[in-house]
Amino acid sequence: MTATDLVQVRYFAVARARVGVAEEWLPGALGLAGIVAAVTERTPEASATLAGCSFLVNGLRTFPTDEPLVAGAVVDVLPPFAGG
Amino acid sequence: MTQIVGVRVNAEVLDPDRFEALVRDPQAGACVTFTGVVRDHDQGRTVVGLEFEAHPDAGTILAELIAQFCADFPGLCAVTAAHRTGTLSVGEVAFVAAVSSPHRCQAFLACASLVDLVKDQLPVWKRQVYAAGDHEWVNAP
Repeated sequence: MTATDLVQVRYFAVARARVGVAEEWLPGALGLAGIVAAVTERTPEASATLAGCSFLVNGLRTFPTDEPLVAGAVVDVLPPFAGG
Repeated sequence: MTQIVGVRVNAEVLDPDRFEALVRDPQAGACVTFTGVVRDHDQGRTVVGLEFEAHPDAGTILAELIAQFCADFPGLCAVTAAHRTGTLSVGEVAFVAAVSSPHRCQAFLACASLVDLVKDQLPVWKRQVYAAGDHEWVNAP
Protein backbone atom coordinates (compact mmCIF):
# COMPACT_ATOMS: atom_id res chain seq x y z
CA MET A 1 0.00 0.00 0.00
CA THR A 2 1.29 3.45 -0.88
CA ALA A 3 -0.07 6.94 -0.42
CA THR A 4 -1.36 6.78 -3.98
CA ASP A 5 -3.77 4.01 -2.93
CA LEU A 6 -5.83 6.44 -0.93
CA VAL A 7 -9.44 7.35 -1.63
CA GLN A 8 -11.28 10.40 -0.33
CA VAL A 9 -14.18 9.56 1.99
CA ARG A 10 -16.74 12.33 2.56
CA TYR A 11 -19.36 12.12 5.30
CA PHE A 12 -22.65 14.04 5.18
CA ALA A 13 -25.14 15.20 7.80
CA VAL A 14 -25.57 12.71 10.66
CA ALA A 15 -22.77 10.51 9.28
CA ARG A 16 -20.34 13.41 9.66
CA ALA A 17 -21.69 14.12 13.14
CA ARG A 18 -21.24 10.52 14.30
CA VAL A 19 -17.91 9.77 12.62
CA GLY A 20 -16.58 13.13 13.78
CA VAL A 21 -14.88 14.27 10.56
CA ALA A 22 -16.19 15.74 7.31
CA GLU A 23 -13.70 13.85 5.17
CA GLU A 24 -10.61 11.69 5.34
CA TRP A 25 -8.32 9.63 3.10
CA LEU A 26 -8.35 5.86 3.52
CA PRO A 27 -6.75 2.94 1.63
CA GLY A 28 -8.73 2.02 -1.48
CA ALA A 29 -7.35 -1.51 -1.24
CA LEU A 30 -9.77 -2.12 1.63
CA GLY A 31 -12.70 -1.93 -0.76
CA LEU A 32 -15.88 -0.15 0.26
CA ALA A 33 -16.83 -2.92 2.69
CA GLY A 34 -13.39 -2.77 4.32
CA ILE A 35 -13.56 1.01 4.62
CA VAL A 36 -16.96 0.86 6.32
CA ALA A 37 -15.69 -1.88 8.64
CA ALA A 38 -12.56 0.10 9.54
CA VAL A 39 -14.51 3.27 10.31
CA THR A 40 -17.07 1.29 12.33
CA GLU A 41 -14.30 -0.34 14.35
CA ARG A 42 -12.68 3.04 15.01
CA THR A 43 -15.94 4.78 15.94
CA PRO A 44 -18.39 2.18 17.29
CA GLU A 45 -20.90 4.96 18.08
CA ALA A 46 -21.27 5.48 14.33
CA SER A 47 -22.08 1.81 13.72
CA ALA A 48 -25.89 2.07 13.43
CA THR A 49 -25.64 5.24 11.34
CA LEU A 50 -23.15 3.72 8.88
CA ALA A 51 -25.31 0.60 8.60
CA GLY A 52 -28.19 2.81 7.44
CA CYS A 53 -26.20 4.83 4.89
CA SER A 54 -25.90 4.45 1.14
CA PHE A 55 -22.68 5.08 -0.75
CA LEU A 56 -21.53 6.81 -3.90
CA VAL A 57 -18.18 6.06 -5.51
CA ASN A 58 -17.32 8.81 -7.98
CA GLY A 59 -20.99 9.75 -8.01
CA LEU A 60 -22.36 6.26 -8.68
CA ARG A 61 -24.43 4.29 -6.19
CA THR A 62 -22.21 1.45 -4.96
CA PHE A 63 -22.84 -1.41 -2.57
CA PRO A 64 -20.07 -2.36 -0.13
CA THR A 65 -17.84 -5.20 -1.37
CA ASP A 66 -14.19 -6.14 -0.95
CA GLU A 67 -13.36 -5.02 -4.48
CA PRO A 68 -10.48 -2.51 -4.23
CA LEU A 69 -11.35 1.09 -5.05
CA VAL A 70 -9.33 3.03 -7.59
CA ALA A 71 -6.83 5.44 -6.04
CA GLY A 72 -8.20 8.96 -5.84
CA ALA A 73 -11.82 7.84 -5.94
CA VAL A 74 -14.35 9.93 -4.03
CA VAL A 75 -16.52 7.92 -1.66
CA ASP A 76 -19.64 9.68 -0.33
CA VAL A 77 -21.36 8.38 2.79
CA LEU A 78 -25.04 9.38 2.57
CA PRO A 79 -27.61 9.01 5.35
CA PRO A 80 -31.24 8.57 4.27
CA PHE A 81 -32.39 11.74 2.51
CA ALA A 82 -34.70 14.15 4.31
CA GLY A 83 -35.38 17.02 1.95
CA GLY A 84 -38.64 18.80 1.30
CA MET B 1 -41.41 19.30 -25.13
CA THR B 2 -41.72 20.25 -21.48
CA GLN B 3 -39.83 23.37 -20.43
CA ILE B 4 -37.61 22.89 -17.39
CA VAL B 5 -36.94 26.20 -15.66
CA GLY B 6 -35.41 27.68 -12.54
CA VAL B 7 -34.08 24.44 -11.01
CA ARG B 8 -31.68 25.06 -8.13
CA VAL B 9 -30.48 23.93 -4.72
CA ASN B 10 -28.92 26.79 -2.79
CA ALA B 11 -29.36 29.25 0.06
CA GLU B 12 -31.44 31.80 -1.88
CA VAL B 13 -34.85 32.66 -0.43
CA LEU B 14 -37.68 30.92 -2.33
CA ASP B 15 -40.69 32.91 -3.50
CA PRO B 16 -43.45 30.47 -4.61
CA ASP B 17 -45.17 33.16 -6.72
CA ARG B 18 -42.02 33.57 -8.74
CA PHE B 19 -41.87 29.83 -9.41
CA GLU B 20 -45.51 29.69 -10.43
CA ALA B 21 -44.82 32.56 -12.85
CA LEU B 22 -41.96 30.53 -14.32
CA VAL B 23 -44.28 27.69 -15.36
CA ARG B 24 -47.03 29.90 -16.83
CA ASP B 25 -47.53 29.00 -20.46
CA PRO B 26 -50.10 29.96 -23.09
CA GLN B 27 -50.90 26.24 -23.51
CA ALA B 28 -51.33 25.64 -19.79
CA GLY B 29 -54.80 25.74 -18.32
CA ALA B 30 -53.53 24.63 -14.93
CA CYS B 31 -50.58 25.54 -12.73
CA VAL B 32 -50.05 23.62 -9.49
CA THR B 33 -47.45 24.79 -7.00
CA PHE B 34 -46.34 22.93 -3.90
CA THR B 35 -44.75 25.03 -1.17
CA GLY B 36 -42.87 23.16 1.55
CA VAL B 37 -42.73 25.30 4.68
CA VAL B 38 -40.86 24.91 7.96
CA ARG B 39 -43.47 24.04 10.58
CA ASP B 40 -43.35 24.61 14.32
CA HIS B 41 -43.75 21.03 15.53
CA ASP B 42 -42.73 17.47 14.85
CA GLN B 43 -43.82 14.36 16.70
CA GLY B 44 -45.18 16.36 19.59
CA ARG B 45 -42.14 18.59 20.05
CA THR B 46 -41.87 22.33 19.40
CA VAL B 47 -39.56 23.12 16.51
CA VAL B 48 -37.96 26.57 16.07
CA GLY B 49 -36.01 25.97 12.87
CA LEU B 50 -34.45 23.60 10.38
CA GLU B 51 -30.95 23.41 8.99
CA PHE B 52 -30.75 21.99 5.47
CA GLU B 53 -27.57 20.46 4.14
CA ALA B 54 -27.24 19.43 0.49
CA HIS B 55 -24.73 17.24 -1.29
CA PRO B 56 -22.47 19.47 -3.45
CA ASP B 57 -23.95 17.86 -6.59
CA ALA B 58 -27.58 18.25 -5.44
CA GLY B 59 -28.39 20.95 -8.02
CA THR B 60 -27.19 18.76 -10.88
CA ILE B 61 -28.97 15.74 -9.43
CA LEU B 62 -32.23 17.71 -9.15
CA ALA B 63 -31.95 18.76 -12.80
CA GLU B 64 -31.37 15.12 -13.80
CA LEU B 65 -34.31 13.91 -11.70
CA ILE B 66 -36.60 16.48 -13.33
CA ALA B 67 -35.40 15.62 -16.84
CA GLN B 68 -36.23 11.96 -16.18
CA PHE B 69 -39.52 12.98 -14.58
CA CYS B 70 -40.53 14.92 -17.68
CA ALA B 71 -39.70 11.91 -19.85
CA ASP B 72 -41.88 9.72 -17.60
CA PHE B 73 -44.70 12.29 -17.47
CA PRO B 74 -45.21 13.46 -21.05
CA GLY B 75 -47.59 16.28 -21.92
CA LEU B 76 -46.65 18.80 -19.24
CA CYS B 77 -46.00 22.39 -20.32
CA ALA B 78 -43.37 23.40 -17.78
CA VAL B 79 -41.77 22.12 -14.58
CA THR B 80 -39.64 23.72 -11.91
CA ALA B 81 -38.33 22.77 -8.49
CA ALA B 82 -35.96 24.40 -6.05
CA HIS B 83 -34.68 23.54 -2.59
CA ARG B 84 -33.09 25.77 0.00
CA THR B 85 -30.02 25.08 2.05
CA GLY B 86 -28.88 26.64 5.29
CA THR B 87 -30.73 27.66 8.43
CA LEU B 88 -34.47 28.37 8.11
CA SER B 89 -36.97 29.61 10.67
CA VAL B 90 -40.57 28.49 11.15
CA GLY B 91 -42.69 29.78 8.25
CA GLU B 92 -39.85 29.99 5.75
CA VAL B 93 -40.12 28.17 2.43
CA ALA B 94 -37.75 25.19 2.15
CA PHE B 95 -38.91 23.67 -1.10
CA VAL B 96 -41.00 24.68 -4.10
CA ALA B 97 -42.22 22.53 -6.97
CA ALA B 98 -44.49 23.85 -9.72
CA VAL B 99 -46.00 22.17 -12.75
CA SER B 100 -48.20 23.44 -15.56
CA SER B 101 -50.25 21.44 -18.02
CA PRO B 102 -53.18 21.90 -20.39
CA HIS B 103 -55.63 20.33 -17.88
CA ARG B 104 -55.74 20.30 -14.10
CA CYS B 105 -55.67 16.54 -13.47
CA GLN B 106 -52.26 16.16 -15.06
CA ALA B 107 -50.88 19.11 -13.13
CA PHE B 108 -52.17 17.88 -9.74
CA LEU B 109 -50.86 14.36 -10.28
CA ALA B 110 -47.52 15.48 -11.70
CA CYS B 111 -46.86 17.98 -8.93
CA ALA B 112 -47.59 15.40 -6.22
CA SER B 113 -45.32 12.86 -7.96
CA LEU B 114 -42.56 15.41 -8.37
CA VAL B 115 -42.65 16.29 -4.67
CA ASP B 116 -42.45 12.60 -3.72
CA LEU B 117 -39.59 12.05 -6.16
CA VAL B 118 -37.56 14.94 -4.76
CA LYS B 119 -38.14 13.94 -1.15
CA ASP B 120 -37.12 10.38 -1.97
CA GLN B 121 -34.09 10.97 -4.20
CA LEU B 122 -32.56 14.40 -3.71
CA PRO B 123 -29.49 14.21 -1.44
CA VAL B 124 -30.61 16.79 1.10
CA TRP B 125 -30.68 16.36 4.87
CA LYS B 126 -32.28 18.37 7.63
CA ARG B 127 -31.48 18.94 11.25
CA GLN B 128 -34.39 19.95 13.41
CA VAL B 129 -33.77 22.53 16.12
CA TYR B 130 -36.15 22.27 19.07
CA ALA B 131 -37.42 24.98 21.39
CA ALA B 132 -35.78 23.06 24.24
CA GLY B 133 -32.39 23.89 22.67
CA ASP B 134 -31.44 20.42 21.43
CA HIS B 135 -31.45 19.25 17.83
CA GLU B 136 -31.77 16.08 15.81
CA TRP B 137 -31.07 14.92 12.25
CA VAL B 138 -34.36 13.88 10.67
CA ASN B 139 -34.56 10.26 9.39
CA ALA B 140 -31.17 9.54 10.95
CA PRO B 141 -30.41 5.83 11.30
